[in-house]
Amino acid sequence: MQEQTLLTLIVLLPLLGALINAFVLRFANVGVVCTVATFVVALPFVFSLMLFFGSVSEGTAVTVDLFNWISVPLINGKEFNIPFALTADRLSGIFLLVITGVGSLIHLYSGEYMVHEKNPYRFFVYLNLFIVSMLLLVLGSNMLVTFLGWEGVGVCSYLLIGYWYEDKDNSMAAIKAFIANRVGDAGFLIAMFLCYMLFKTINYSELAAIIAASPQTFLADHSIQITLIGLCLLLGVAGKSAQIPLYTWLPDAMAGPTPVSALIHAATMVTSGIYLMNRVSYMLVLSPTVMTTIAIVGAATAILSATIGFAQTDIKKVLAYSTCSQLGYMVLACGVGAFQYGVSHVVTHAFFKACLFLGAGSVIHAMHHEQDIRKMGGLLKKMPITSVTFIIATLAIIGFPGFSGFFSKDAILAAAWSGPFGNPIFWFVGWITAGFTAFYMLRLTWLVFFGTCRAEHPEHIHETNIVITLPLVLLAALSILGGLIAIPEVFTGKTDFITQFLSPVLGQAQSVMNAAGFHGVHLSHTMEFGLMGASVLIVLVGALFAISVYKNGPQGGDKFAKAFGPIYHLVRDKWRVDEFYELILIRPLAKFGRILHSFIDKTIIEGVVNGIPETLYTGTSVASDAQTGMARNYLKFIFISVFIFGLILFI
Amino acid sequence: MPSLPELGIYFSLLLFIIGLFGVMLRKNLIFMMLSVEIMLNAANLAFISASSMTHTMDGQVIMFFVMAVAACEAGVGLALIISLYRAKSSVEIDDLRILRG
Repeated sequence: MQEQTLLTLIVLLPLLGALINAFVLRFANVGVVCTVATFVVALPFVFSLMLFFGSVSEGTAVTVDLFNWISVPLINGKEFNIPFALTADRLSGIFLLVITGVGSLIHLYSGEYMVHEKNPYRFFVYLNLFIVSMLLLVLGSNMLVTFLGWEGVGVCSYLLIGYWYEDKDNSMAAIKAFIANRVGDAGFLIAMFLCYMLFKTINYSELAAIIAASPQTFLADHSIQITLIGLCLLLGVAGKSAQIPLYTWLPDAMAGPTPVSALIHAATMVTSGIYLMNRVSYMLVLSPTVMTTIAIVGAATAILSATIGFAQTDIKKVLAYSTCSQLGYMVLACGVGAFQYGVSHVVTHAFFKACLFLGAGSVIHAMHHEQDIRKMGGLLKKMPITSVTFIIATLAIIGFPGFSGFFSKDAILAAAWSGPFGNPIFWFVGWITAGFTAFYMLRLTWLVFFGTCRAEHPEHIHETNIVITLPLVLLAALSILGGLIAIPEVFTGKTDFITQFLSPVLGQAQSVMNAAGFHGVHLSHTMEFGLMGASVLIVLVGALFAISVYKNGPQGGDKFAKAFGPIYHLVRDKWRVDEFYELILIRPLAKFGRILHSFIDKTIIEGVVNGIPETLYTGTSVASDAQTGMARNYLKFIFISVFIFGLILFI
Repeated sequence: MPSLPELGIYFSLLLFIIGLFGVMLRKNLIFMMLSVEIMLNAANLAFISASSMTHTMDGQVIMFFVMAVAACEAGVGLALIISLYRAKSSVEIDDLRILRG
């Protein structure tokens, strides 16, 4: 009972916080609002810890059935029931800790970052609502509760990207994110319907039980339906987790306030796709087509967005493309059948990417809203804490040996080669991407923190206060230590922590893969060390190359711009994908809309709607001519009517 | 050649049309009243012609009533026109639209 109450409170507290801030503390100052907002996320973090180190880490799932949500009697006498139920198992437990933990640090940081806003309560209400939705997403014990959270995070993301809604660009970015997410959501919805058609349930544990009872049936007889469900889910994942073809919204989403970029667009919401794939992993592995498609999408996104990172000059845009790229790694991990490494990368990525974004926010704050890295430089001496934490997080993201990103990324690369659906080609793409990542991240770090300061007023730049630096330091520490969850077998001699920990959740998928004959290849220790060495090598090459190019400032890149002319422009314009979508999708749709508007709306609908009053108006104006008060008009009517009457009488 | 009463009927039709057009086209109230008188006379002529055609007295009796009514109408009408002229300084029919709906 105790644990059920904890679980309920974890979801209810942020909701309560949002309500208090929205209706009671509207006009309170930012300190009060932020304290309330942070408290209602920090307390659930404590509860999550209690829950996690209580029965969840033991392997028992905690379920709480709150109320019967949807109940429809069916024609055949049965009843269609969807309970509003929450489940915390090992998988959602990990996400629970990340959401509330990183979330409360970001709430704390926002208190300082948003201090000059006119209506800060609005920001914190959205943030708290976002936390509620995200918690529902990972805790839902059926697809519909997950979908509720899935939509909720989309709405909050829209509201927060467009927080400065008076700026047209921000509003457009918010709309773009919202629409791209809707496309993905349609995929998720269709997948949910198909699931119900095929299995007659959308409850995760019931789904797992049905598939476990006869995996061979579903492998053999229902492969088309399963593949369709998987591909629709992948569309949903692509929307939320910013994968090809729906990734373009994420970089634009950087228009929102920086804490939002850190919380939503780096640490939590964008990883919900990875969560979903893990949650239904037993279903995805039934179709090799789906798995391969997932892996290809992940690998392609990883390398494509890494290349775009080369030429971006906005500090947050570079980080946004690196998020896309790292999410590509996670999707690749799921696609090759190593779901648990997707999760471990989610965790480490949440730490170092949140740290990078908050660091970027600290820099932007200190530079008075300057985001162009060409105008920064030499900040290491002026902002030591921000710089050191940022550099630690950079080393983590590029996979420098010893940092968290090294272990989680290496696990993915090894699995890309050897996993049940792995292929050396996937490894190669991931390997190249690692080099690219090292290049653009070091380019960023070098231009911002080293060399000479290129700001207009360098003397004004100074370190920000403890509310901003404390989350940075904590996240930097976690960026180093987070890798412990994925230290591979070769170093310790036993299976890595995350694989062991998630085996109750993912064991089902594993047994399906075993039954279907997908085993993957066994990597010898020599081979594994070889792959690891290759990764370290390419990371070093990428990093040193970036430093040697940009050691004298941004003009170092100009030589490349000249040498690669057209390709450089193409990369700088983000491969013109947005323009391509504009051409093949947006314009035809807009044109179609205009045709509908001019023909169906104007002619048919407005014709009917306006036609009725117009006819009446004409009729009444004729009748009102009989009331002019002009004697001659009256005579005219008298004469005409007598004439007509006479005609009728005599003919 | 039609007989005399028949000619009277045709003439009364002509008179009536002249009177009708006079009422419809004239703007001056006094002329309109004159035209109404013409129409009344046309009607009287039609009554007399018809009564001489049927050899009865009914038409001629009715004619006397009509003449009496026409005389009253002319008296009341002229009084109305004078009081209207005092109120509006005009006897043009288009200016007198105070009863307009």
